[in-house]
Amino acid sequence: MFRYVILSVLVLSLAACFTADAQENASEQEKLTADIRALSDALGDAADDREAVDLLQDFLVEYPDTRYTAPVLNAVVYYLRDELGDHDGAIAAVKAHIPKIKDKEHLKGAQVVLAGAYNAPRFKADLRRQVEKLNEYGPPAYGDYETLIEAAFGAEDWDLALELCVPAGEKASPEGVKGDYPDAPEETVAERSEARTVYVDICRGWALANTGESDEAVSIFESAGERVDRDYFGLPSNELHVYWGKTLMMKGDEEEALEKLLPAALWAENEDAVEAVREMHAVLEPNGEDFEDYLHRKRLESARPMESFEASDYSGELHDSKDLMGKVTLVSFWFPT
Amino acid sequence: MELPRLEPLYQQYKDEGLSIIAIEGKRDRDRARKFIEEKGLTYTFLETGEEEDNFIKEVFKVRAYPTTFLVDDEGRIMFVHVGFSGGDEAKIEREIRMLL
Repeated sequence: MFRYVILSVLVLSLAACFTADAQENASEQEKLTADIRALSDALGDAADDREAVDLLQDFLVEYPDTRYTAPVLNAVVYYLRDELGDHDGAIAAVKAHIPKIKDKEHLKGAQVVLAGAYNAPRFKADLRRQVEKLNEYGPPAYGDYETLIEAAFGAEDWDLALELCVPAGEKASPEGVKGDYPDAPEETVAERSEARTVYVDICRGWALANTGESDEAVSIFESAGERVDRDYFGLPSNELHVYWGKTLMMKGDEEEALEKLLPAALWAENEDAVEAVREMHAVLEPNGEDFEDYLHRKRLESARPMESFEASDYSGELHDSKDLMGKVTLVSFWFPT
Repeated sequence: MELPRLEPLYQQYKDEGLSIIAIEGKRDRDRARKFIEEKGLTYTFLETGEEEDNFIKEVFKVRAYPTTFLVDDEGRIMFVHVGFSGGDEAKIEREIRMLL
């Protein structure tokens, strides 16, 4: 999964929790909300990833069993495993915390986080056991299936991934979406169902590609490519192009693979795509062009012009983006925390 | 928080032709102004329309905050980075140096 998605999932889950209904008494609830906001701000200002882990762990000591427990544990896993490279430490941290949780819903969330942390081939057996164990908590939610499928990819358990795509596909149907959002208007249900279905299809395609069914995978990717939501750069908002490109690589079709992988490497900073492109670059450009220079050259070839706009600053002065020509401009979209 | 970390980049490269524009996405003007003042940020801050009319967000098709774009001297979008965590300013600085 894209690194930024993991971070924004944490931020979003924290934000979503702000509006959740209060079960605890009002002042405790207020303190918890204030503390989770403070934690979110402190993470943004943390000097390094180790400090971020400490902040999260401190929060878990004070609040071991709340609706924030799973997202906070997920953030612990992200920093330890993805940023600090301590995969065993990440798993140990979640395992150590689980006995401190009593509430069944919170516990289920933490067990899903643990399953998600088993995303390496050496944890294949642990992941299978953990997926089994989750049945004790009732059927997983759609988002849980995404976590489990991604873990199965990491563990290279393609059969498990294919098995999980079946119930995930049911949760992606309009009926499945309605189950999660009973009050959503039809149009919203249809949109969400389509987005989920495309994602599950892409996952099934990638699992099939890895079990030798690359032709079937490519036809799934082609169909998904017509249905997927795209961003400013024409890139899908999910891993479609990464899986598609890597499947084409497996088939030995390097030129077409590059066509899919380069945009994801250049415009989505997708690390898997960058690595795959690096591999192909070494083969296709043996004349020693530096990889960073190559990426820069490819950016220049495919960069899109910024559309012009006018906007006022806080003193009311109007600025025209045309005045930026000739300058290098950093544009940051932000909001005050 | 990304904005205070951009200030040193601005100070270092503005004379070489770097400008920085920060666009506040949630239209929380009071908090935004307070934040800018408290942190002593000196680059350009722009306002955009409300959610539906957030025209600049539409120009860039922004889906998450924060998102950082680098536009080169010919007006081409050359780099996009979603999110901001420790060490990202080094990555952004490397890209700026390539463009300057």
